[in-house]
Amino acid sequence: MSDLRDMFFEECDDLLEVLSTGLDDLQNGNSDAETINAMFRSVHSIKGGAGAFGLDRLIKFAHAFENVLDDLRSNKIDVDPNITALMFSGFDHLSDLVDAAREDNDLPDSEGASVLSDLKLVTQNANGGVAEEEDASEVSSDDFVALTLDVGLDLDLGGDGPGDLPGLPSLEPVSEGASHFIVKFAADPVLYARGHDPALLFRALGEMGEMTVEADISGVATLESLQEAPAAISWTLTLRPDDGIDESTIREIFEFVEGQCTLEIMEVAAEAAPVVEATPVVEAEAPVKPAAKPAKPSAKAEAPEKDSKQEAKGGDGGKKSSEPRNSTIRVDLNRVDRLINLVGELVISEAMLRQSMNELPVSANSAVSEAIGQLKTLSGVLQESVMAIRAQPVRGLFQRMSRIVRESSRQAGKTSRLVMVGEATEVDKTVTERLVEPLTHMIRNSVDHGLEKAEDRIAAGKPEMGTIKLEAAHRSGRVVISLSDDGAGVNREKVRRKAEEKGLVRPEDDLTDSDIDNLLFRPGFSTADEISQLSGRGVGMDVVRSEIQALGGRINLQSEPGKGTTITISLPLTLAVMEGMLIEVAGESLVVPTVALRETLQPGQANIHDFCDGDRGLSVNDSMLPIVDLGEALGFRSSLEDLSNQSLLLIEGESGRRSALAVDGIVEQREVVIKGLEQNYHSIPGIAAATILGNGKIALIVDTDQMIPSPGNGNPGLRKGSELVEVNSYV
Amino acid sequence: MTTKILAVDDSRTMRAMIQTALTDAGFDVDLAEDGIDGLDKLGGSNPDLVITDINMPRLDGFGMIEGVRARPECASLPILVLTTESGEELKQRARTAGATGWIVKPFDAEKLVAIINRLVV
Repeated sequence: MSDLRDMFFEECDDLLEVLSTGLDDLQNGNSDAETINAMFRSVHSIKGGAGAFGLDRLIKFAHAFENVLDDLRSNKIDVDPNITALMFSGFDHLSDLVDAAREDNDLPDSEGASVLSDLKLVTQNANGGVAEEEDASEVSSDDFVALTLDVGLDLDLGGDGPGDLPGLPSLEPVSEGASHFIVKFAADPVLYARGHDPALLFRALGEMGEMTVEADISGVATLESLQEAPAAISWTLTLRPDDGIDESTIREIFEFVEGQCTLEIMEVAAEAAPVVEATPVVEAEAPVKPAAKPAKPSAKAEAPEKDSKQEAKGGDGGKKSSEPRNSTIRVDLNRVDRLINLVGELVISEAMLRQSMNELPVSANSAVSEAIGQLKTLSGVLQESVMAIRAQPVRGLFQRMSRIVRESSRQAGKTSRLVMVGEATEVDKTVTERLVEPLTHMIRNSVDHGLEKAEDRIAAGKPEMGTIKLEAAHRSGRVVISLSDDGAGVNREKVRRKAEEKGLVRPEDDLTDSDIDNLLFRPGFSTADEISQLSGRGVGMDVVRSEIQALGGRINLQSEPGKGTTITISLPLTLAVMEGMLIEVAGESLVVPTVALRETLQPGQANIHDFCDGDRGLSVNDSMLPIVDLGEALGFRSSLEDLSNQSLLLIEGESGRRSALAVDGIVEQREVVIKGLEQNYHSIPGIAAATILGNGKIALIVDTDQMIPSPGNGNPGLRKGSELVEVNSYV
Repeated sequence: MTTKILAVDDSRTMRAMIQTALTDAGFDVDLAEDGIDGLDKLGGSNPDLVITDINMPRLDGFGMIEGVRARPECASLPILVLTTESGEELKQRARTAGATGWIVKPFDAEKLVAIINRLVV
């Protein structure tokens, strides 16, 4: 059952996504009848599943929501901004209820109460002011269960209550002295047409006691006059019932065939004729319910017409079904991860094999070399394909953000809308999951600090409604997600002043606009004069940055005064492999991510300049870059006196700042499988992760962003403990 | 021979629940996701009984029932509707389309099995 429960909640996620997409379409005027149908089915399926798990509050709310969608699809109400807004609130609350149920939590009673009553009011108004009867949706789950059991198609025994159930106290006690029942039964042709079989009904009845069956075949035509239509046989069944069997339990056997037969049930007292002598009563023409008879011919007359429609529909259906459908299977994520890990190991083994081969006296044209080359290609393709399994569109993530925009706008008293671009862009599942928190924070900040108050916007000649844009795209092997607002932009003067007050920068520091903008990512930085309920006092942007960095990503902020702010996050496509440059420092092998690499140099002594307190700079293309001696920065050895024999790697960080990493040697560029260190070890400054080389040795992967000195980024000289190195001060 | 049941429901949770309940009771269960899928699978599955939901994409339960009844070989195949709906109007539509019985979700497995046993040989 817990598997089913998990499955239900997974399905809820999918259904909520459909609902959310539908709501967006509705809001943007892109909806059609099928949009609303699909939304209805989503909520309906949530309700159905919730019923199975006894999630009363979810059932109740989904029911009210579904009714409004039903009114919409039957054009009882029209789509207008109020309805759309109400449905967005409904969606939010429905998501909350699903989440709460998933976690076995109870939401406070007050939560969602107003949305629920608004939804009900809409349905009530749409249906002539009549409130819906307190039915399935309104009762406790016990009643709900009871209701489910016994609503036969043709059951009309005075209600759906438990009284009709077998084994429960009967509505009418068996009368004194009743010893047997005589049941007369004659089927209408339609009974057979609807899949019933009298023999099975009789068998069920026979289980209720001792029974004899007599068939009257006098109505059966002779062979010459045989016609298909009328059902000519009738039966008389005599039942000596077991204890607890009364007329209602007998009727229940026939609940599905009522209206498709003539049925007469008579109770016979003990002193009546013995069962064996009961004369077969053949009165098929004497219906128990006379009213039922006249109705039948019309039903029959309808049938052929219906049939022709069925043909039409069936044909249509056949055509539709030939459309290609993407078939999917659901796989446990752990299995996928295991597969990915194994493929990672395979790639490493392949590299080891290739390396060993190079050491053997084998010609590059030999069959073995060719086979190894093929193995390399195949394992590369295999790895890519396996990674693609984990990729999923960012749509779900973006849709969650749409709610954050709504909520934070409401709390901040601003009106804003979210525009999404590139929702189909695929990203590793782990990445999308871990982006939820940082993006939430960024959006709250955008609404809270980025967008101006309505009166300021109007004064600035902007539309009152602010726009937040969330965009995703693949760019040169990375995923770029950007969040922009059309707000006032960063107030650089204020940021600089605050940064100086807090001692984050010195008044004499020469900072570019971009430097100042990126000061916002410094821990504890805030320019908001009032502490806001939403995003607090600037807490978060530094956390956002470290979370993005933990994903191997880079974050950058660009702002244009009066026009708005754009925060760009660039992420690796996968967390499992990356392209890196293998280097050597102090006898250690290290990997520098290629993505940060701009150039490699073998400098002459002339290009290296010494400064006070041991800092060195490299003059290249008319500018001066700080040199970071990697061996020293990572604590492998003390600073080298002479850097002229070192190789220099020019690296560029997220903010666009550069530095030159001095290393002993450059080995080769290769793809490496990333192995996290933090799980087994702990976070090491300057080191992002590790990898296993072809020869089986471990190489550490350098965290390049921590190797670039800048005002927004602390000190790369991990062993030096010196002051910030400011790039432009060298010029 | 084991009784074969074709269950048609667009919710995979519901499909799994029906499958569990009926497989435990010893039935063979085939599953379909909507009316069109159900009609597609009808021939290959050759079931002794069909269970169908009402609200489904592409082709709903009513269309599904009509489609089943339109096939001469399925003219007397028992069809149970299993749905959260309980409105009399909808039941009447299902009846006209040719449904055999109507059960309201959430269903009780034992009761469902008892009803099925009453409908199949």
